[in-house]
Amino acid sequence: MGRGECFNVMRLIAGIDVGNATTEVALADVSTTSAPRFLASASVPTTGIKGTVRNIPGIVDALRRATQSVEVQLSDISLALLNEATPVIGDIAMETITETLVTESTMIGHNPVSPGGIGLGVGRTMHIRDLVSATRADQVIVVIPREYDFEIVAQMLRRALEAGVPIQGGIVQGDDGVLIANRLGQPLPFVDEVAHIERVPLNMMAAVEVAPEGQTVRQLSNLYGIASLFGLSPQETTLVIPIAKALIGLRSAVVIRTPAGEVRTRRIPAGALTLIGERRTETVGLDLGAEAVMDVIAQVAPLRDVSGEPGTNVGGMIGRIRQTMGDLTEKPVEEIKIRDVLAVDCQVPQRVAGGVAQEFSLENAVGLAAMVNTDRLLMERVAHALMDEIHVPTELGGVEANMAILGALTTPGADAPLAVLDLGAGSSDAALLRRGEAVRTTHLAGAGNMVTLLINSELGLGDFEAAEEIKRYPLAKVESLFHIRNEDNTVRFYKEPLDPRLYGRVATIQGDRLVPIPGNHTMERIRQVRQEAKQKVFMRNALRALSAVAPAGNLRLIDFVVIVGGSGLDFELPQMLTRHLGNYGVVVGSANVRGTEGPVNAVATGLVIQYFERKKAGLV
Amino acid sequence: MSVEPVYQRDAVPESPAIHVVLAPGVDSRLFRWVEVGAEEEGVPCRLAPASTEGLAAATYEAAQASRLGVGVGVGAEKVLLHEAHMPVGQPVWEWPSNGTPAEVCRLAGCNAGRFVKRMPLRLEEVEPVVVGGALATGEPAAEIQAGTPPAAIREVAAKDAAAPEAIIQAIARVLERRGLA
Repeated sequence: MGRGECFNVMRLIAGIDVGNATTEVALADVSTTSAPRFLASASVPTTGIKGTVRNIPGIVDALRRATQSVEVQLSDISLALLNEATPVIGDIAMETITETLVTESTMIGHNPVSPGGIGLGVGRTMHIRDLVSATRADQVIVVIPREYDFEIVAQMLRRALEAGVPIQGGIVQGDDGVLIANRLGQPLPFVDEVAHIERVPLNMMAAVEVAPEGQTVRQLSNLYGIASLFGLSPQETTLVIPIAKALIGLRSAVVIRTPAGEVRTRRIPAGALTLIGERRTETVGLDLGAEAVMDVIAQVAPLRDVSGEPGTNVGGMIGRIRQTMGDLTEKPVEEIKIRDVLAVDCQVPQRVAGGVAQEFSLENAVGLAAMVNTDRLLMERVAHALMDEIHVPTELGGVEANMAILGALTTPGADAPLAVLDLGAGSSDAALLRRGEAVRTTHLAGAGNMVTLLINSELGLGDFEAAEEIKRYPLAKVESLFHIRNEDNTVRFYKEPLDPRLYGRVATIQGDRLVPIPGNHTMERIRQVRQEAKQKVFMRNALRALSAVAPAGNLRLIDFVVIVGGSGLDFELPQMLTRHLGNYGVVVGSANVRGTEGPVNAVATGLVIQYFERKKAGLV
Repeated sequence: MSVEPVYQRDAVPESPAIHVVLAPGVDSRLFRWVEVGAEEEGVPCRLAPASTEGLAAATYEAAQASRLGVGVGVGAEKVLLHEAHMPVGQPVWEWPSNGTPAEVCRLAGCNAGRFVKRMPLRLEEVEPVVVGGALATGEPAAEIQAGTPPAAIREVAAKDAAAPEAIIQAIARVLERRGLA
C-alpha cells in the first residue's frame, strides 16, 4: 500500500496502555463506519515507573514497532490515546522478624556435600598437633586445619587409635572428610568444609554427628538428644532449642559446649500496623502473622490509610514505601495514603550471626505489598510529554478498567455479564460489567512483583532476575548430556550434547534455551516455592478482588471471569485460577483479545473501540 | 587393628568403576590423585590400559569400557573427562595441567565421580557450595575454596613420600615415651 494513498483514506488511531511491566499499543484505522480495522499491535517493556515521563521512550518504541510493521510513519497517526491509568502505585517490602545468634561458636550446623564416615562421637576438641599429648582417658574430637594433608592426618589418627587414644570424630577444614574416614579402619564421623576452623574452641566438650547417605542427623537435631549428650539441666536445655531447630534436615553437624556460649533466637520487635478504615481503626501486631493482618484488613475495609509503629521493622517498611511513593508522585510524604496492604508470611534463609561454617537458619519473615492512590495528573503529564515528543495529538482515552472490559469483550465467545481479572506486576485489578449497571472496579496491592520477591527470599537467591525467571518459566533437570526431565516427569532428548555446565543442574526452560538456576535446590523444592508464592499472592488477590466487585460481595454471583494482561500468559496461573475459582462456581478463561492477541492488548484495544463508539455517536 | 582402607578396592575386575588412562610417559602416581578425587565423592576408580593412539581416543575408549560410562585421561599437558555417549573427539571437559597435575587430577577425579552421581560438575573457579540449612549461596572465592588444598602442601605431599612417614615415626616415638604405645 502506497504511503500517500493510505494517508488520505485512513484515519489512524493508536491506543496506548502503559502498564507496570509492559507498554502495549493497538494501531487501528477508524475511517470506516462499521468497526475499527485493527492493523497492528506491539508490546515492549515499560521504561521507568508507570505514570512518569520516563515512560516516553518505551511508548515511542512501541509506536514505532507498530507503525513499521504496516509500513506507515509515526506522524501518520492522527490521534494517540493513553490509558487513564489506574490511580494506584504499588510497592513491596520484606523484613525478617526472627534472628538466630551464635555467641562463642557453639554450633556448626553444616551440610557439606560429602562429610566423612558415619555415626556420633562425643569428646573434647583437640588440635591435631596436640594429639601427641593425648591420653587414653581422653575422648577426643580432632580439629584438623587445611594445612594437614589427608594421608598424614589419617596415619596420625591411626597411630593414635592404635595407641589406645579414644578418638571419637573430627572437624575438618578441607574437603577431605571422606578420605580421612576411609583410611581409619573404623567408622568415625568427620564433618568437613568448616571454613572458619580457627573459631572452633579447643578443649571443650563437643559432639559430631554424620548421618548415613539419604538421612539426616537425629541426635543433634533433637533437643533432648543434645541434653543427654552433655548432661544438661532443664534450664540449660531450653537454651539449646535454637541449636536443635537449626540442625534439622542436615546430614552432618557439630555442637560444642562452651561455658559462656549460647545460641539465641531473638525476636526482632516487628511492630504493629495501624489500619485506618473509613468507619473504624484497628491495630494488629505483625508477629501475629499475615493471616491475622489480612483478617483485620477485611474487617476495617475500605482502608483510608495505614501506619506502622515507629522504631520497629514495620514502621521502617511503611516509611520506605511512603518515601518511594512520595518521590515518584512528587508529593509530600504526609499526603501519601496507603489504600491496600497484602501481607504474606514466608521463611527466609539468613546467615547465622557468629557461625563458623557459614550456617544458615530459616527465619520467619513478613512480606508487605502496599498500594497508594495517586492523582490523575500523572498520566496527563505523560500525555503532554508524549505529544511534545511525537507531535501527534494525544489525549487520555478512558479509565483503564473499563477499557480492559471493552478489550476483553472482543474475545470470541465472551459477553456481558463478565468480570475481568488483571493480575499485573504491581497491582491486582478486577472489574465487573453487568447489563444496565456501571462498571465496578477494584485495585489491590500485591501481584507479580510480590511473587518474585517471595521466590527470591524463600530460595535465598539474592537475585531478582533469577527469581523472575523461575516465576515465568517451567523447570527441568538436566539428567544427562543428552536429555532433560521436565517438572511433570516427561523426558526430552537432544541430538547434540548439552553444555557440561548444565549437567546435573535444575534449569528454567526459556524457549530453546536452558538457563541454570543458581544454588543446589532440588527441582521439587523450587517448584513448591514457586507455586506457593503464586498461591499466596495471586490466588488470595483473585479472591479478594473478585469479591470486592461481586454483587453483595458474593463471589458466587459472578459467572464468568476473563483473565487479561501478562498473567494470562503465565504457564500455570490460568489453570491454577480455573481450578481454584471453580470451587466457587466461577468459570474462568484467558482472554483472546480481537480473536488474535491472546490475553494481552486488552486495554489498548479497548481505547480504540471506545474512541470509535464515541465517534459513531457523534461525540468526537 | 586393620590399617587397610575401607573404601572399595578392585574386588571384582568387572565391577562398575571410573576408568582412568594415562598417556605414555605420564607419572603413574597421578592415577592416585584421580582416585582420591573420585573417592571423596564415594565412586570407585580403576586404572585401565591405554591401547589407542591419542589421549582423546584413549579416554573415549576408557569411558566405553567403564560400566559407569565415565573415563578420565591424564596427558602430559591436560586431563580429560569423557563419557560413553559423547562423540570420540568431544570430551565432556578438558583441564590444562598448568604445572599442578596432582591438583588437576584430583579435580578431574572429583568431577568424574560427580558425573556418575549426576551432580553438577565443579568447573568454574568460583563454585557455589552448600553451606548449611540445605541452602546454597555464591560466596567469595576465598571463603568457599575449602575443597582445594594449598598447592604448596599438595606438592610436598606428592613429591616427598618420606615426609608423612617421618612425622608418623616422630609421633610414635612420643607416644612410646609416654607409655601409650
